[in-house]
Amino acid sequence: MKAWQIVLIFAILVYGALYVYTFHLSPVVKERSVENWVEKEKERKVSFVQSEVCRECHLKVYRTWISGNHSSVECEVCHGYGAEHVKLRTKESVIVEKSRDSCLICHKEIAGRTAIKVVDEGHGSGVICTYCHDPHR
Amino acid sequence: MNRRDFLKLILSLPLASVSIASLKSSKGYAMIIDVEKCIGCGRCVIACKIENGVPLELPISRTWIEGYLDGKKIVMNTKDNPFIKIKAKNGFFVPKLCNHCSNAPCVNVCPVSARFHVDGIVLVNKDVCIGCKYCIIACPYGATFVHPEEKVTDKCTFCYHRIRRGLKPACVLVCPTGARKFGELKEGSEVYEILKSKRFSVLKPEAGTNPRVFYLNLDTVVE
Amino acid sequence: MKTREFILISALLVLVASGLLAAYQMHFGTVIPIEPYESAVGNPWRLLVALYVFLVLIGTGAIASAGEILGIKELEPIIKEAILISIVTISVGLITIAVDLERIERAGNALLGYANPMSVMYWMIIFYVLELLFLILEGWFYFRADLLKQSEKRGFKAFISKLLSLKFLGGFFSKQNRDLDMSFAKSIGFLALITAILAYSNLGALFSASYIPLWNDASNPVYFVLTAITAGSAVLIFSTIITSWTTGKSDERKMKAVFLLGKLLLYSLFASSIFILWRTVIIGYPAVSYLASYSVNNLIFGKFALNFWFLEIFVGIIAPILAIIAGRKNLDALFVASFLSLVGIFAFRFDFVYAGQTSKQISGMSVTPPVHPLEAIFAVGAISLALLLYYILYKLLPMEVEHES
Repeated sequence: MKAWQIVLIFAILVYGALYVYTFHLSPVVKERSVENWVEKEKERKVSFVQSEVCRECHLKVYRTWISGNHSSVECEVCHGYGAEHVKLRTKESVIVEKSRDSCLICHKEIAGRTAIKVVDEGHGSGVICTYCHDPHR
Repeated sequence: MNRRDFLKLILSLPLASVSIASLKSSKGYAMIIDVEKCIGCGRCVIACKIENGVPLELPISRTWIEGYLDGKKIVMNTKDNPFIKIKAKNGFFVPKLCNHCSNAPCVNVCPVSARFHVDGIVLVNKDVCIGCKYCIIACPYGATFVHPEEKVTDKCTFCYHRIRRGLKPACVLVCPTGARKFGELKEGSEVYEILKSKRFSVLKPEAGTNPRVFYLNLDTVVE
Repeated sequence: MKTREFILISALLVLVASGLLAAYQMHFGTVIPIEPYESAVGNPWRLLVALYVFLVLIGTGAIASAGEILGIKELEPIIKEAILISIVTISVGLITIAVDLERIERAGNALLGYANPMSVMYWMIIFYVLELLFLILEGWFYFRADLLKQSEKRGFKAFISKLLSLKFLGGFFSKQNRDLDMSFAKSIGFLALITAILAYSNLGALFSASYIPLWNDASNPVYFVLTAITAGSAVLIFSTIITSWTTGKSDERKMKAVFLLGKLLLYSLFASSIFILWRTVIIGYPAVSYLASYSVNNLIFGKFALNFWFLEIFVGIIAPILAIIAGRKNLDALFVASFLSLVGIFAFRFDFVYAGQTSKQISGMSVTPPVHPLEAIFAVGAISLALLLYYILYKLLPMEVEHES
């Protein structure tokens, strides 16, 4: 046998192995790892619980909120994520902010904010919003 | 049996079988973003970062808001809201996230197959990702980034862990104006009805990616 | 060991060690208490990618194999050097790209079972690994006869030769058969050449496969093969001249090969200048798209203008062409030309990688300083590692060429 024939066989073997590896061996490994990862992804912990969970304890506030103007705004928008609070049930684990800024994040008059009612900064300047407005309504 | 069939089998998910004529990607989940309803409050960005463990201070995020104020593009992707400090006459806000393309460049280019489709959602297999950053280069939307703590690429998963439990994705949940709508694309669902009745557009249709995030009232070209 | 050699080697060792430390700090951030290097910010592909492209595209082995196959006898005396340089640069290039990964410990995933046949990068890595394999085999056949000869002497070199020639296995491995070896080497060289072209083309396609106007160009694979020829011939000229100066031995036949390579370098430089003109005009002409002209403008007038006009065009193309033409049959001129074109090619890789991404910042990200100091230290370390490896191999292996009787 000549040298080039041996090398040709060698080349066919190497590239054939590459073909088998790419199209027949690796899909098996891939499928297993994809399956594992999807399981892992599903098991990740949830931070934001929804308002149905809040209702379990805070029924009175929930009723006010659901019939009010802010009913499209979920509890956790202003109060922070609930997973911690559900576990600890302390005042510290939930955000209760009454500053003007926390309202103005949404209600300040800026360009492009057409979907909701906005106020300019002069509106009731120096008074905290909750003095006049009930945020749960 | 190919990978898709295999996954369908092991997850035994009820995939939608109805197709909307104008949509090439018709199965699985979709998100609709109404640009006119977005007020640029940035709650979605913060909620997403908390839910998915992305550092709040760093300018990387799975979802971000682009404010086009007086023609200037300003991006909110940390916990600070830049929009309320700026005085502008005109403007609008475009929330953005991974478009979960049906023909996803990031899935195609990944050398280790760390990205794949499940129910039309593109997921990142963080156990396999080597961090070559080719997906960041390939993504036409700039939606993927390197997670500084996990040292692998990361991007929006449509909160896969939440929707599998029947919850809404975090950004959809906290949106105070309902600018984001999320659901399965099947007959009778909210998302399906909106797409059937309203004019919608997608970002960068010229890239040929068939996105799964649809925009309403987006009549201006955004980058 | 001479003092000069000692100083050279220890300097290289220090640089390699600092490069290693830089790589360690990049990935684990524990050497010095500063914030670990974050490539998440700004450009995803940076200096190390440019360096990788620069290193792996020094396709000298391919040129030498091509010369063998086309029957160019003049290139034969330097084929051993060519193969050594190829092996060293491709290995160091693969190390560089592994360090650029965010998860260096997972670098093996690219080869172990997670193959994605849709991905250009997968094929590129596979073809480079195969090319490395074939080059090592080819080199082994080229060196075998001389290794066997050297193993009969005494000392460390003989021991290494015994080990490398696999003489201890006996049988075929201990017998001299130069003609058979040569025909094996030539056939494997052909295989290596094909694999090399596949690898270079995939590297070109790697860049053109994205939505980046400056990169998204069908001529990329061709251009990459062309610049590989430029870089390869320049490196061969450079190394051959420098070794003949340092060792004091001047081989007539090697010098002949060097002049042939000078001609090749000249032609490929001409071709690349035409290519650069084409690319910049076709991609950057405002009729194409805003983004395309933006990224090319960045190259021609903007941030990368100095790199582009001075390093890439003047130092990399015009000066070498002038030097080769003016200093005809002059080794010094050829040496200068090869060095300058290498600098130019490195500048080209750098600009190509960086300027392409100017239109590709992740939304809202600040533009970070183009090169992180740790990256720069590692880059210097990687180049020193390549030099050191080449030096050691050159010292240990029988490099003298057998004169044909």
